[in-house]
Amino acid sequence: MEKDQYLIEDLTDLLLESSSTGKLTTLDEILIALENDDQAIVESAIESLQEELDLKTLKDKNGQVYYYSGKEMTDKYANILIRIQDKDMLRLVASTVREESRRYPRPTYVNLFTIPPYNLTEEELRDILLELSDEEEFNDLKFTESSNGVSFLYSQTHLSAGYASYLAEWQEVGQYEIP
Amino acid sequence: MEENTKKKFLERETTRRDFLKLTGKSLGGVAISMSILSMLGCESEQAVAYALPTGLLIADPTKCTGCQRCELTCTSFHDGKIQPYISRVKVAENYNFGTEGPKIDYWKRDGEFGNLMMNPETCKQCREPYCGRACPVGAISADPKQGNARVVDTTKCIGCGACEEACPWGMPTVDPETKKSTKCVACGLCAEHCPTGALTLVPWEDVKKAMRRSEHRFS
Amino acid sequence: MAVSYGWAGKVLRVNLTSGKITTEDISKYKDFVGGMGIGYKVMYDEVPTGTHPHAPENKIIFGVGPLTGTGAPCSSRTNITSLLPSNPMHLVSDSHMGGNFAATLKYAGYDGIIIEGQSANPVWLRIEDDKVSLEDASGLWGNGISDTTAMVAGEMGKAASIAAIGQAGENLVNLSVIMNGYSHSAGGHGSILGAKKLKAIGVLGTGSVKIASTGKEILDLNTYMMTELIGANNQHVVPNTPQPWAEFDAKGSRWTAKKGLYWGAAEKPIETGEIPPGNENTVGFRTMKAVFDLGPIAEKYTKRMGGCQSCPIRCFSQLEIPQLKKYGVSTNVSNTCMGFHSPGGVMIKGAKDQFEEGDANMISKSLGSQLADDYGVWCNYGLIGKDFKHGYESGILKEVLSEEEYNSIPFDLMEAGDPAFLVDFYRRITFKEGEFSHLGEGTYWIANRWNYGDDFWHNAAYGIWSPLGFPKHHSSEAGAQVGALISCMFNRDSQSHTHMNLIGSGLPTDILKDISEELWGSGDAIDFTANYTPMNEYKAKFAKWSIIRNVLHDSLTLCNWMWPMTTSPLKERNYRGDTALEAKYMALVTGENYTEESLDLAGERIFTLHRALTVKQMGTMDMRTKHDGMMDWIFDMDPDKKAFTEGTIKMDRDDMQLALTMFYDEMGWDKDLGAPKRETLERLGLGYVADDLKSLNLLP
Repeated sequence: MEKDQYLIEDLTDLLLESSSTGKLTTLDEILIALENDDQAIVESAIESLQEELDLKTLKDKNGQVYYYSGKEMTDKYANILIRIQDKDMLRLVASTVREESRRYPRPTYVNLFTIPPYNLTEEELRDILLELSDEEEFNDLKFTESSNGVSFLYSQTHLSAGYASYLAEWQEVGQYEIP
Repeated sequence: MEENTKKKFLERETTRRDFLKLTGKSLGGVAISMSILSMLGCESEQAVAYALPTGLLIADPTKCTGCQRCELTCTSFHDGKIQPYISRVKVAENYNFGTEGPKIDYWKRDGEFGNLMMNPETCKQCREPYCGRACPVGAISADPKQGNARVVDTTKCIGCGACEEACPWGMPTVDPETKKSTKCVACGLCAEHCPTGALTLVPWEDVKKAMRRSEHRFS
Repeated sequence: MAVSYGWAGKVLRVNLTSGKITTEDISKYKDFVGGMGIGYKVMYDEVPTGTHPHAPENKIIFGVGPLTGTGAPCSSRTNITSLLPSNPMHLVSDSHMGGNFAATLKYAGYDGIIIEGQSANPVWLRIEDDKVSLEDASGLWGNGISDTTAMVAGEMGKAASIAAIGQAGENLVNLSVIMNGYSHSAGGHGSILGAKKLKAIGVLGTGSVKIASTGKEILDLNTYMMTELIGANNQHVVPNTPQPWAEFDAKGSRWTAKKGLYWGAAEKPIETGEIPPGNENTVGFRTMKAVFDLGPIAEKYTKRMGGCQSCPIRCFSQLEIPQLKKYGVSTNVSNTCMGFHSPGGVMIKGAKDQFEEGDANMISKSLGSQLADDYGVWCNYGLIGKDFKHGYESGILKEVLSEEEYNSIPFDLMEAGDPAFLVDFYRRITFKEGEFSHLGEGTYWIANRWNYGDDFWHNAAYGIWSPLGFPKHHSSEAGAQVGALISCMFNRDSQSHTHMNLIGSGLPTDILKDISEELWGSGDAIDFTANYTPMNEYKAKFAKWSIIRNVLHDSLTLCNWMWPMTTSPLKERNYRGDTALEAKYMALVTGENYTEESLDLAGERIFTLHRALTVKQMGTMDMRTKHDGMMDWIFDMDPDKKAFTEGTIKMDRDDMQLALTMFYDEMGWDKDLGAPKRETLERLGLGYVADDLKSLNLLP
């Protein structure tokens, strides 16, 4: 009884907290965190918070359902997380680079994928970069480097080599000359 | 503390008086223990906390950046004009050289010209207020409608400045434009608008929640 | 007496020759708003053409405005207007300083201070509400800015806000500053006060800024800005790294807060964290600038971030660096941007690590900052380092200096990357030691004195923008013709950030183009980075809007490094800011019917007055060729590339001339000459200026 009294309050905080800290949450994880094994009651509580927390779900490739609050996490970020969950890193890197080259436009600094949420190790990153260079599917992805030794990837579908090189230099060196 | 007392506290609507009973502190801004503060997410040893009607006000000078928005908010709300001199929380006057003013070794002391530490000063709502005792017309007293904060009754105030003189921290200030004293009424608005949370107001509900979750025991 | 809302209602006038101190009503300046507006009005009306900056006939105006001190975020800036000694024709210019000074001046009851004449002996100006006096400064003279401030505070009390010059200003070094609050400095006018023998101004204000609205209304507007509009430093609205709440991120963004980034030297390190917008209580953590300016090593030395009264952004890095003790300067550092960057540039061969790995930049930049800030040395937005670099590397320095002097300068330290070099450098500049110290005169003067050639003036590496001797500063590298136009229009680097804040906001270009369309009629106003297009009318409108807002902010006063709120960090607002916010504040504060249009008109008035004054001072209407010049590198860089192709910011000469023509047209100035026309001056209520210019044959 006492548990249920605080269920909504604790569930709200749990969902908001995990989303704001960049985590997707499963029902099982919720049950454990709330120390509550009454799945039906918890699911009902989740549903009742649907609108207030702008709750959304995503499924990984195994069909596992994840919750996040649209108030704390963007769909874009959630989609990155699910692809990481699915270990779809190669295509995640490729699509990120292509999107940045298309939209901003800008080349993508390679170390982006070693920081959150990507969190690749140096070795994992190296493996992916090698694969990108090898496979035909990723033919459009090329490397460039700024004068201070920072590596970038870009898609030549959207950026020419010269332009990507200029932008990389501007991003890393040029813009800091006018503080 | 008795398990029973704790249970009753958690179940009832928390009031500030209950919290004070719980911690064994009396009204009057005595520093709340570090263990309670860290439970509420405040790690600094320089932080002090005061019990206001709406929640626990925590002042953490290590987070204060000297922006003075607290002062600007205070007089905007209470006086309908912007006048940091009469602000009921004081930061600007200590900005350059700390609370003590310029000394021969000012570069080692508090303030922007020294160790870069800011000194935001808040009214301590003293149990036996110096200001109240000094006032010749009894214009300063505890107002139950404002959580027993020591407030100035401007209908009685004669602007003599005795309160200002008497307070060891110089908190009450006579407004040169209205000739009435101004002092902190524990409203917490300064904390609500502090850009770094150097002043934070933790609502009693959240204090209660934090205590429930941390299984905290008070000595 | 009627209550004055917003404005304090009076301007202080101090005559240092006679010692007379008077006040005048603000009403004659209200059409010019305040700040810069008061400055140009006084300079136009009262200072004769041909006056030398150091002559008693020159005036210097400390101006603030109706929004100064109201608690509107970012509203404590002082605008200082006078003739500029480093400019070849001593043309009028502004410098600005943040801190507390501006707000305190309002609380003391003044919208400005006009300083004229010259004192026979060193004095300082003491303002305590309506008690104003000139005090003997013989005990202050010869001291650095920090000691001076402490001594004045010793007289006035700890709460005083104090602006002062250092020894550089006293010694009439052109490149000198006026400083308040340890690190808030206004560049270029220090020697004006030095010539007038005015060492410091101390202000205590116990009064109020009155507002026509209720306190609650203005607090609600503050909350609106704090939760829905304001971003990070330079109004960057996306975080520097991917974060759950953000749709976009940009590595150049000054929204650097993230997990694992701390104010490392706080009593217990304080994490900046992942902090979404919408929360007022975390705004002050968004910009952790120390690592941005000084490198990753600066994190553990950073006590906190600081800044100006009323501003939640806190863009000044405040560090405690004990290693600086070795050089005889305070170990407590406060500065931002060029204040750090410029000393780094004086170390022309770079800096080497001194005490630990990776500290090269931090030590040299923070040391330089301490030296320059206490002496009160300015840098001409970093050009002083380039002036030196050219002299040294070309061998010219060796020619113009005597052998004895050359050998006395510790160039070996500089070659070794040892920042101890800076101790000698700044001292020489400050005390005018030897021929070398002429570097303190500013680019134009030193280039002429030492016969610097085209390889200096037109060198892309140095980035000199104008033949008047000032550098690029969000110029052709910031929005093609838009930045280029803005950079031509003032008598020093433009200090205009309206356009750059939008361009650098971190949002993708398509969103910037959409916003441009809404504001100036077409997305063609903004080009893709380094993929420029030829001039068009929308760019002219964008340039005009940018300058008008910049000038308006320097008059209201609001900080143009943050305002206007062109964008917002909120996806829910579709990243759209509120460009009517200045008007909303003015309407609430003054109770008068200000609108976006009426304020922009005032900005246009002030800027056009500046232009008219420049015409008058130069004695020519031909601004196009005589004033709005640009160095060759702007057009000749990247010789293997063509302008308006991707991967270059090179401009085209004919196109820039067209840009000038279109801009002049937007402003209502003569399309060929770029001088204000009568009908425009009259439209802006400056008919008397038209008459005056006509009498001098300077009206097109």
